[in-house]
Amino acid sequence: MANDVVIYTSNTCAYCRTTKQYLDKKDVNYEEINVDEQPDRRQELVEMSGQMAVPVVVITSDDGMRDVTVGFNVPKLASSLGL
Amino acid sequence: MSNIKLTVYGANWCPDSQRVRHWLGEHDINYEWKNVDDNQSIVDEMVKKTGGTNLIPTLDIDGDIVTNPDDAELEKKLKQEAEDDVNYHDVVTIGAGPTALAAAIYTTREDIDTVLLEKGVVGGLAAITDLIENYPGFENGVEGMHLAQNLEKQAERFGAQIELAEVVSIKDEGQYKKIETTYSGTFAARAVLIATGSDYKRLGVPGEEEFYGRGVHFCATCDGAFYRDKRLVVVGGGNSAAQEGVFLTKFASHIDMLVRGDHLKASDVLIKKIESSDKITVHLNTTTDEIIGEDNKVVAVGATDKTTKESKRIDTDGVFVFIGLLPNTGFLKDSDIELDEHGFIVTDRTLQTSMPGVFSAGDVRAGATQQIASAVGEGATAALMIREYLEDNS
Repeated sequence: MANDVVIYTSNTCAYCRTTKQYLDKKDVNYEEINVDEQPDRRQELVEMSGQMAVPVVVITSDDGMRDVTVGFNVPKLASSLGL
Repeated sequence: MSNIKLTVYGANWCPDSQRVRHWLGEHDINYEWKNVDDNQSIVDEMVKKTGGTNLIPTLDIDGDIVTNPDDAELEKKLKQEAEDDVNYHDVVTIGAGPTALAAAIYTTREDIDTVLLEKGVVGGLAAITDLIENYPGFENGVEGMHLAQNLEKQAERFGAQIELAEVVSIKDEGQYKKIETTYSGTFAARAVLIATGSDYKRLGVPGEEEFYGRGVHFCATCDGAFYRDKRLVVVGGGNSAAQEGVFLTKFASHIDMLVRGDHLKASDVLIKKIESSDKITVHLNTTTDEIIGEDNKVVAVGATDKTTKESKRIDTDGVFVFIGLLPNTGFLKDSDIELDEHGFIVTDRTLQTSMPGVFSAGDVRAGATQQIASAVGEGATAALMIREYLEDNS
């Protein structure tokens, strides 16, 4: 199952770094959107997740289902990624 | 996980039978116990398997018959199983904040095999603190994330391993302490350092849970940037609230700081920064009673002035809460490790807890000073105490 994985991060967020480390360790390819460097993408994150927090991981599966994980949450990420 | 079928034939009075059972227990290997004293059919079954030898203990390891193995032979026959089940190390630290990282720098430099188990961010609360101005050796202060990353790299350079794992229990099994985790299996160590630190306390008022991550926050460095040119409330009057409040002025247009007490309990440097900032208004003697939302967004905080008993509404786009620390000891609630009445871990002068071979240091230890410099110092002390313990108990 191919998933499209996007992670929203910021420069100063340690939990973002930890979440990326986790994805790296699990060999998950992802696109990173740093909302400090791309502030125009911040609103899209707020609209999609209803959150004003990072990290947010958005996993879109082949059938278009979208799964949103807010914060560094290994059990949730593992189950969303089918690991 | 263990998939072998292991049967042990023996007797309660037989020291070698007991030795073998003890070894299996320590290595967390499941087996079926058949007591030859129970009935003759068990003896017959065993003798049939050994081809006539009438000796205990006899082990049937998936059809492989072994009679009275010594520990080395047990290890050879069953080590793979044991290793599959439990990760053995000299030292396991629970937590990978400044305390555990400092301890690991000391232990690994002496070739003491050390694994750090971390459920959240390596570097702990320090890593999510914007700027640490009182950590010695940095003239202009050091960013929390920078300090955390450097500690991590330094520990790893000497061989420390950091694993993502949430510990749920710790048990004393004699020479080894067994540590169960939720998604990373079981670890065992000759000595354990509990350095789980502390976390920010929740307010426990209406609206706090509902708007968590959507207007209520506990990490300024994570979420502050969402409040560019917005109004914020910071709750708390200690060092953390002051430091993070100053940090948030980078983004917010205005900050109302709600302080329950009659003065700020922060360092003079921080108090001066707050007083000189035209973006921060401090409200002393003020309790935070409610987070008020409209249309799924935070719009205000309900507060009370304790001196006049007057309720007030402070309009805001978000609330950051820094009202003190809670020790991360939930996983020890039903353990044999003594906690004080506030949930902090009680240690003796060598930083050893009530469970022999289990040490504790840093914010989570009763009597700790909740400073990063102290945490690092306690980590180094704990490492030296652990080394001594390992030498005495090898």
